[in-house]
Amino acid sequence: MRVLITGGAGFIGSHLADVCLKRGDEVYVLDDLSTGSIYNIEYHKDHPDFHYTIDRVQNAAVTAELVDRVDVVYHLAAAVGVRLIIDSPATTVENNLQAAEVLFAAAAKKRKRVLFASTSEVYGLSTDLPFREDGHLVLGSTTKGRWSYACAKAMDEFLALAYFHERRLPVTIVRLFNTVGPRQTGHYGMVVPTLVRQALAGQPITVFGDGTQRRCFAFVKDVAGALAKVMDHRDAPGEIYNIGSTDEISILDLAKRVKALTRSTSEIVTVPYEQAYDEGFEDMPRRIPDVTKSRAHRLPPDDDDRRDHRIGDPVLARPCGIPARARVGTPGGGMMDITTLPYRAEPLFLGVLAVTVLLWIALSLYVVLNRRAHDRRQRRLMEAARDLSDPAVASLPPLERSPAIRRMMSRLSRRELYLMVASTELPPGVSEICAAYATDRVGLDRIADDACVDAERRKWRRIPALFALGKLKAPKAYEVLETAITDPDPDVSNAASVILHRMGDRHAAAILIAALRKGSPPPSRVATHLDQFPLAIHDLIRPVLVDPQPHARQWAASLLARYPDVPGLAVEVAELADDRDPQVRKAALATLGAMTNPVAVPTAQRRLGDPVSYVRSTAIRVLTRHGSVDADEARRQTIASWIAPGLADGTWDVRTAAKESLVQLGPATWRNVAAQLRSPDEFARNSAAEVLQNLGLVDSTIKGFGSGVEPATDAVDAVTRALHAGGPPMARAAAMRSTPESLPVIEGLVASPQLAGVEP
Amino acid sequence: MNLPFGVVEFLHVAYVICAVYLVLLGVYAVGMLWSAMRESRFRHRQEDVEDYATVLGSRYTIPVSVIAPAFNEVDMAVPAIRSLLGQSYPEFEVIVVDDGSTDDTLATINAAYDLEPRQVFFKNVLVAKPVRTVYRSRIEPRLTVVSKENGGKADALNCGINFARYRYLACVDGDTVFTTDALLKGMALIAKDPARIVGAASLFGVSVEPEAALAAGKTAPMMNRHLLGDFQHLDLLRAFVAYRQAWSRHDCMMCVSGGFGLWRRDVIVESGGFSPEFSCEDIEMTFRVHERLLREKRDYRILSLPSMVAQTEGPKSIRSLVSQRARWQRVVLETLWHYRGMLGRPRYKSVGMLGLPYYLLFEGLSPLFHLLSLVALIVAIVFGLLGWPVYLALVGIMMFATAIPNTLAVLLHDSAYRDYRVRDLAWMMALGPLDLLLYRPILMWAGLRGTWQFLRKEKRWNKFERNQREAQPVAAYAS
Repeated sequence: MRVLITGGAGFIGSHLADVCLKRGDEVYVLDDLSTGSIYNIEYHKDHPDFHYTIDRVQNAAVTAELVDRVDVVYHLAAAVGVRLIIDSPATTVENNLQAAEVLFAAAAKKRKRVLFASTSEVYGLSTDLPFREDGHLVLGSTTKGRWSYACAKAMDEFLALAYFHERRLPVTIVRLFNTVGPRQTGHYGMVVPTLVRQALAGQPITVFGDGTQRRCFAFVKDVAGALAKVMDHRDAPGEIYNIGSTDEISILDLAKRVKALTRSTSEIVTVPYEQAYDEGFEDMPRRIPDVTKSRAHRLPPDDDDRRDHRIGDPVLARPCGIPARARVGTPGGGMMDITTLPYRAEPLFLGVLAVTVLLWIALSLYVVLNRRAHDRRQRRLMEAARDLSDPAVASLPPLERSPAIRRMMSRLSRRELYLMVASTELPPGVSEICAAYATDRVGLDRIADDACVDAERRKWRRIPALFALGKLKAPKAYEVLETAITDPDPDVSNAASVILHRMGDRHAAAILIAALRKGSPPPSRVATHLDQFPLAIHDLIRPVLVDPQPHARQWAASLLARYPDVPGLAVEVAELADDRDPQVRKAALATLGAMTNPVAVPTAQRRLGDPVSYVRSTAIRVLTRHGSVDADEARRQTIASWIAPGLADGTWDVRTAAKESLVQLGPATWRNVAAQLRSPDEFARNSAAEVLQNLGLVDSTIKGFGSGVEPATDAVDAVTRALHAGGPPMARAAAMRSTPESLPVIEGLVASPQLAGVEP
Repeated sequence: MNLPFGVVEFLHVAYVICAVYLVLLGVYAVGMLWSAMRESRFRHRQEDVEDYATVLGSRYTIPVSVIAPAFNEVDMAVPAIRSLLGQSYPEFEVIVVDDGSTDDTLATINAAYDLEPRQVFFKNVLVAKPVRTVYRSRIEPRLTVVSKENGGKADALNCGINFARYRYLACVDGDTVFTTDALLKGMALIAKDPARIVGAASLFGVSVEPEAALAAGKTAPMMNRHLLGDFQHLDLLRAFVAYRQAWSRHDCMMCVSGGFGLWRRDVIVESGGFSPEFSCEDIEMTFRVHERLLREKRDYRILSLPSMVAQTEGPKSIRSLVSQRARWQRVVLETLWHYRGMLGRPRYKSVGMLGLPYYLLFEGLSPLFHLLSLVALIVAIVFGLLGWPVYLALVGIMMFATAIPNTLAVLLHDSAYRDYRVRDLAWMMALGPLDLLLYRPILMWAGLRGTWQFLRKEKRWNKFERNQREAQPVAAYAS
């Protein structure tokens, strides 16, 4: 069936549209949105059977067109609400009358069935309760604007029935009593949405008059259902039906019910009618429909429906579970959707806030108290340690010397106890007590067990246990450490190295050296400890010099630098200077540099031509070491002459080594350096220039000019070449170092013509 | 007042977006704090059994070149250099690069260290602005001062690297005062695994007068009761102790701070040196190294340590703080944009899947989320739609919820180091909740400015003005 609903975007009209669509009808809506809202029907916009037109019913062409298309017309379009009638009386009356005229005329042309929605207002001041459809309509004075609405609606009823009688228009009239439900706007003075909005917003809940006036509220879905159903009856045309609930409630009770259901903190205030509307506003104390006729036709709402719906339920929050959405009017005239939560939000947030604050307080207190406890413990330890210096106390066995310390230690976990035993920062007396206590409480066997365990999560007890074992010099310690040092976990193996170092005896050294040979842990770590070993262990290291693995030989060679005066060592190390592995060669050379044995010099000289750069630079440094302590100047010159070609080496590091070495060998060697100033290699010239600068030759020569003593020609020549090779920065630096009088000298040298045999 | 169309919809959308953001942030924070706790415990346990004495005395200890760029640091240069040269480390050199200072920086250093100009030929591996003069100190052979034309911090670092002779670099700021064991702590970690660890950062404190802490002879960090400085200190403490430790654990440490950063030299040189194209050079270098090494499938690690190694100067006034943080925001956006190819790509492992998304969401875009929530708040107030009790409760929750990571970070640090005074600890606890109300708004404003500057492609590197100090006699620094 095709239906047209005028005012279909309004409150009741949109619900009627829902019912019709659900029923399978094709629905046309005509509404000018003057009091309706597009939101009410937006859900249906994509429905294929739904069409809407935004226009006024007074637009005859549009209305006629739409009426033509449909089978049934529901004329719900009207200006509604007491507020609107009071505010715009003329427009209201005109709209209501004109719209009805146009619509009935259009419908009458094709005899379409029409339902006209009238209102219970037409009963006016009648006191003949319950209001029967055929009862008297008692209107008030025409000076009271309110009755114009009732009158206009009554007129429309007359017109409808007139069309029925004269033109056989099958029209049915329904008189709707107070209806509530979703989508009702409070903007035009509807009571329930207004009350709800006020309650939710925390504003005072206003009740007009004294609140004792009573009304009956029907649920809109039931009303819409009734409207749809009434058109099904054959004898509906020409009839008038009351549609509404018979459950009465006073407005004051309604306000209280709203307040309770919204759990609002608002006050209920009564407002006199004069304030709300104007002087002499009249209101009916009661309005109840007589629904015998509707019931006969089984129109809702009936007893069953009453049971299912409570007044205002869909508008207020439902007590359990799903939050409801409410559409309420806002003061500005718009519509607002409120999602009403099934509970109030404030307690939830306050609860979370309380939890957060408590958590923060707890943590903060913990930080401060933890620290104070720690400080207290430290203080007590220090105090107890002081008492230990008393000779009377010192004579006691360790465990009995300080009950205070013993008490403190009894509170520690095994791991902490081991750490304390191993600590190098405790006062000596305390360490002793710790050691005794640990042995007593835990036992060496247990400590050894803890030190051997392989599980990852026990690692941080294992390592302190190892330390403790080492510190206590337990007999099992060596065995355990030997296993630990080759453990793949770097923390464990490093710890083992440290412990063996601290144990400081030959057995420990042997273990370290064995680990060095093995290559795990990284030899550099082990070597660090061997290098600072408290005993002389060169005899243990020596055999490693001939180990088949290069890394072992390398580190052995390097470590022996600590023993420069052991007889025969230098020769053995020197042999390694020709080893096939360059790292070994380098280490051997470096060690030779520390030794005074004269074999160092020829070995190093041989290695000046080594193919690997870092060996060459090490060789240079070795020669320098020997040369710089040699008193014989001729030997120094010789060494310098060997090193000077290094200034032209292709590798940066070698050149650097050569530069630094030549400076160290002393100013007397400058001639060897100056020879490089004529080299075709630019690097050589630069480096030589830098060396001469660092030797101080440049400065002394320049100063010499100023002092009147003419410097030697070769010196001047060298300095000039150096300044040329060094470029403007060198000249500038020289200038900055010297006195203002020397400036012209420098400039002169720099500007002097190029000397033969050198390209700029 | 009319409710225009869309206001409620906007508020709903804003509410949902902010709620999701906060939930994500909360989840992330909890996860990172958990990781940080475990990493902290691990490092603490390592330190318990570390043998620093041997490292200090060994001739095998890896030598380090410290590079300190300085621009107009007349107040801070000498204390900084003094602290660097006072390191307990066995072998290292200090290269101070004077980036064309216009004040008396060079003269001050000269007065303290008796500099002598020398020509030095250096390896021109990295591109940098021309060098004017090189100085060696007559009294301190480990010090080299390079005076060059102004080119910015990245340029100065590159120049310093050209002069560096050792295999490891420590890139520091010219205004940071170090503890004597800074290099020791940092390099001890690197020495455990020198083949893999290419970069390391460590915690440093922020103070408005860093040299004061050291002048008192203590190496313990102090809170000055200067509100802004203390907030910054706490901020940095939380960042290092809580988040960077967690990132280290997951191999997505995205920022080796320019205040103290240890790098292996070959990695920097291969990457082409620090880039002056970005507003800050430290974070960009970290991103670049990650990107390249992951792409080349190399086995490497970049870590962050929890040890406090230095005190650096923090801006004293809100304006200079805003300018500094705006710059940081700018560089985060610039870097994110430049390295956007890494985002979400499994090839970049945790850097692409964890590190970059964090930076994008919680650093790069966070000012925008804050702005959204602020606008939503204003709209809600204007249209009378704000439920005040709920909103205030929400603010309260956020205040204390952001205070909890602060507290945890302090707890983690203190349980390992026990170096703050107890009253400073209590002060830091109290500052926690105030952080949201007093400090965050400044950061948010700075973040917005930085974002705006980024969008306008500004590249100013305005160092904040040095904090004014009361006249202090130079004798106070004499050691």
